Amino acid sequence: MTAERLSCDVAVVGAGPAGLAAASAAATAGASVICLDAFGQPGGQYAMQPTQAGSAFAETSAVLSGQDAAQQAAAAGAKILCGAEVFWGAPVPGGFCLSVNRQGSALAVEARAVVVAAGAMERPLPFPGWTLPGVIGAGAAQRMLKTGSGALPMTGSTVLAGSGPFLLAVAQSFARAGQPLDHFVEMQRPSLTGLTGLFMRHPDRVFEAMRLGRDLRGTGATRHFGHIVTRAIGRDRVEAVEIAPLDGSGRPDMSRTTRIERVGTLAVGYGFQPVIDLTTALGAAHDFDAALGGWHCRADDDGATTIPNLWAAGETLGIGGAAPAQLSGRIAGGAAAAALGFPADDTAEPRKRVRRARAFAAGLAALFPMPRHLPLELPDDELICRCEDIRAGDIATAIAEGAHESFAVKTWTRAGMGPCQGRICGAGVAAALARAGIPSETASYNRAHLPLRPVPLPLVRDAMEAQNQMETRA
Amino acid sequence: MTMIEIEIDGASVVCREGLPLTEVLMSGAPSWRRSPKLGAPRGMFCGMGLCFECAVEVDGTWARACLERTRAGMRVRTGEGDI
Amino acid sequence: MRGSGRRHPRGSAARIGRCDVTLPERAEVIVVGGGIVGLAAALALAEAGAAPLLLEARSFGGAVTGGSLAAIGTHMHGLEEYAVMDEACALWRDLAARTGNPFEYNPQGQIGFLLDADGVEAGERWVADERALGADCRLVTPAELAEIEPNLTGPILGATFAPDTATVNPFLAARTVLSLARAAGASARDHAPVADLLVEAGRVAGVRMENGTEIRAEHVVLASGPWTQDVSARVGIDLPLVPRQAQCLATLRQRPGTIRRIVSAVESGGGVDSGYTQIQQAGSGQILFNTVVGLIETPEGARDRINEVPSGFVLTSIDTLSLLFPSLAGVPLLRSWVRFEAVSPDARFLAGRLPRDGLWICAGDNGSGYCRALMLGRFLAGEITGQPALAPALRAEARALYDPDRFGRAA
Repeated sequence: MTAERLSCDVAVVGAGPAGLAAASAAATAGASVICLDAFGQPGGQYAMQPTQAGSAFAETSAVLSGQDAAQQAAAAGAKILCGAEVFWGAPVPGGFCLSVNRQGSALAVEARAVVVAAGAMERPLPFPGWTLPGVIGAGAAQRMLKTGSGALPMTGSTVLAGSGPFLLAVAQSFARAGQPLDHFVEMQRPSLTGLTGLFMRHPDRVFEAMRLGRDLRGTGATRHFGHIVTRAIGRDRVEAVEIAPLDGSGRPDMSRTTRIERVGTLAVGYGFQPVIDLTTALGAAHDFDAALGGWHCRADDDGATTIPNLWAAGETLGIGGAAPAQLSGRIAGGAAAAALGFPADDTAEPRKRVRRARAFAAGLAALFPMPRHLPLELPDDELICRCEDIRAGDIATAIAEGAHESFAVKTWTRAGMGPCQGRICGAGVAAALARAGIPSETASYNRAHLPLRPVPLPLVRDAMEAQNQMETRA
Repeated sequence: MTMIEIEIDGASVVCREGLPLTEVLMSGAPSWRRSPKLGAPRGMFCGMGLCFECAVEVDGTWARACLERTRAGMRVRTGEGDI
Repeated sequence: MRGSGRRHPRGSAARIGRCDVTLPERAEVIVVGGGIVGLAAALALAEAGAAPLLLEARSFGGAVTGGSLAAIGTHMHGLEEYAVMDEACALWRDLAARTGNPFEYNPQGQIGFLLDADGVEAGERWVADERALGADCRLVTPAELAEIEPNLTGPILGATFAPDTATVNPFLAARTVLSLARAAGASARDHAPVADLLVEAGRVAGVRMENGTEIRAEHVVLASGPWTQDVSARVGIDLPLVPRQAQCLATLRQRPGTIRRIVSAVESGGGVDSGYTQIQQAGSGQILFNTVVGLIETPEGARDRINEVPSGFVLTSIDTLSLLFPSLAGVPLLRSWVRFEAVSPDARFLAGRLPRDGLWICAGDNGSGYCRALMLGRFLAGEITGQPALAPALRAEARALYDPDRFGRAA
C-alpha cells in the first residue's frame, strides 16, 4: 500500500472553533488549506454535532455556530477532512509532513505551514474508586448526550461532580436532553461579590450565566456546593458515591460524609489541560501556567510558536474557552498565510476582542480555581495509571527512591507507558510529584514521540514512506 | 431514525444507526474489558479517544468504541483484557 | 557544558535546576554518570568500602540505559571477550537470585535468524567458535525453530540458538543497582550536572558542578556514555568514542508468549557502521524492536537533543518485523525512541586509568553495555581500590581488553 498524499499551503490540525477560524482566515487570504479533525464531523468538542436526526441539540447556538464556521471555511476554499487523526508531524524541506490515520488508511499531508488547534482534554484527577466502570469524564457525559440518542445508557442515578463553569454547561446539556440529573457536586462556593464584579465588567456574558444557573435548577438535581466526591464505591461498577463538605482549610470534613446510593453514572470534571502532543513532538517550546491549564504551547500575539511556520491557536495555547479560541484561530490562520506571502488581514479588531475574551476567561477561572490535585489522600493501592495498573504507593516509592521528574516516574513505574501514552495518568503523576515537593514546572512533561496515538503498523509504514520521500526529494 | 443490526461478540443487536458504539455497549453493561495486571473491570472513561479504556475489535481491527459509530453489519468483539 | 547523562531538550520544560540538594564537599571517589555503568561502578566501589558519590545530570538510567533493550548474553559478541562476558552474565544471574529478581531477569534464550547463505555460513562459524570456548549454543533447523519460536514464520533458512541469553528490565535493573549501591554506602544525586574537572598539580582533584559547587575527590570515574569525552576534553584527553544513534519501536501489549526469545541478527563485526536487529517481547507484553541497518548519520549535537526516530528506520524496522513475524504485521505501534550509544573503534569498552592521575573511565558501550556493566564495575573498583573483585585471570584479561590507552595515547 502507499499513503494517499495531499499538499497545501496551510494545514490546520483541529476543526473546533480555533481550527475552523484559522482555516477560514488562511483560505480567505488565498492560501490552499486542509483542515484535519479526528472526529466524524467538524465543530470540535465545543460544537459537537449530533449524529441523530431530531436531536435536542440540533438547534443549539454552539451546534449552529460549528456548522456556520465549517460552512464559512469551506466557502473560503478550505478542505475539511474529518475522521482524520494526525498521528505524527515532522519537518521536511519547505514545510511539514503530517501523518494521518484517515479511518484506517494512511494519509500524508505536506504543508508549507501548520496551525495546531488541537484543543483541550479533561484533566483527570484520581480519587478513590475512579477506575470503576460508570465513572466517566464530565465531557464524556456531555458527548454521550449530544452525539448519542440523548439518554445516558446506564441505569441508576446520575451524579455530576467536580469544579468549574464547564460543570454548569454539562448540567445544561442534561436539561436540554431532558435527562435526569440527580446530584450536582461543585467544590467551590463562588462568592456573590466575585460573580457580580466579573459580570459588571462583562455585562454581555450575564445572559449566558443566568441561563446556565436556570438550567441547572431545571434539572432538578440536588445541588451540593462546597462539596467533593471522596469515593466512588462498587464492586464491578460504581454503585454509590460518597461526598463530603470542604472545611475552611479546603479539606473534606470526613466526619460529615453523605452517601448517595444506587448510582449508575458518576461524571467528574475538574477542568481542562491543553493538548500539546503535536507541538511538543515538533519541538516547540512550552510553558507552565496553572491558570491556563498547565503546560501549554508558547506563542507570540500572532500565534507563532518557537518553530518557524508552526503556529498554534485556541486551547493549545492555554485554556480559555471557545470565544478566545475562535479569535486566536482567526489571527493565527491569517498570520500563517501572510508569512507565506499571502495578503495580510487587518487583525486589530480580533486582537482587541481576544484580549477581552481572555480577560473574561481569566476572571472566571479565578472564581473557580482549578485544583492541581484533589485534597484527598489516595490510599497506596489506588491506581494512578489505569493502563498499566500502577498504584499510588508504587509511584510514591519511586519518587522517594530518586524518580524526580515525570519521565523518571514513567521509567521506574511504567505509569504512562500504556496505550494512553501518559495522557490520563499525567495529572495524577504530577500531583504525586508535587506532593513530594517537586512542582510541575520542575517535573516537566513527557514529550510526545511517534506515534501520537497508537496506530496499526501498516499505516505507520505507509505514512513514513511518504515522509521519507519528502525528506529525501532532491 | 434508521434501525440497524450489528453483531457484538457473536450476538445480533438491533440499534439506531450512527450512535456512539459506547452507548450500545454500555446499555448492556458498563464494562467490556479488564485491566492488564489486576484484571479489574473497566469501561469508557474519557469518551474522546484518549484513554483507550473502551477498546474493542471492530471488523478485526483494534478500535476505540467511543469514536466508532454504529453501522449495519459491523462486527464487534469485546474482552480485550484477555491479552 | 554538562558532564553526564541526558541533555536537556529544547524548551523551558526541561530547565531543571535541581542542584538544590545538599552536596558533600568531598568524597573518596566521584562517579560521573548515573546510567547502568556508573551505577554498577558505584555499587562495586561501595562494596569495596570506597563510599563513592555518584552524580547524574538528569534522572538515573534515563538516557542510554533507559533506551536499551538490555540483553544479557555472550552470543555473537567478540570471541576475545568470551571469558569476561561469561562472568558478566553470571553476575547478573547471581544478582537476580540474590535480590529476588525485582528487575525481571528472564533467561529466555536468543535466536540468531539467518536469512541467506552468507548468513548461514556466518552462523555456523559463530556457533563453532563459541562452542569451542564452552558456550551452550547451537544451530537449529527451521523445524526445531517452529517449536522454539512458533510465530517466527518468515522466510529464514535457519537460526542459531543460545539458550542462556537473558533480558532484564533496563529501568528496574538500574533502580535495583542504585538501591543496592546506596545500601552498601554509596551516595547518589540526580539532577546534579557536572560542568568541569578540578585539577591540582597535574592531578584531577574533583569536579565542579554546573551551579559552581566544587566537590573534591581522590578519584573521578567518567561513566557518562556518549558524553564522556566532553568531560575528558576539559583536561585535554581526546577519547575515540563516537555517538551512534540507535532507535527502538514498541507495539501495544500482545499475548504472553507471542515472542518467546530474543530474536536477533548481527550484520557485521562491530564499529560505528555495524547494524543489528533485536526483537523481543517485554514483561509488559509489548513487542520491542530495534533494527539498525548500517550507519545512520548522527548529526552534530544530536545526542544533546531529544530526537525522533528517522522515517527510513521506521520503514525498515516494520518491514523486518512483518517479514519475520507475519502474524504481527497489523498490530498497533505504541511508541518509539532514540538513544545514543558510545561506539569505540574495536567495539569494546574503555575501562581503566586515563593518562591523568586521579581520572578513570568506564565508557564505550557499543550498544551492549548492559551486559557488561556489573563486571566492569567490579573490574574498575578493583583497579581503583586495589581490592580486586574479579579473579586474577579475568582481571588480567579485562586490563588488556579494555585498556583506555590501546589506541595510542591522545593528549
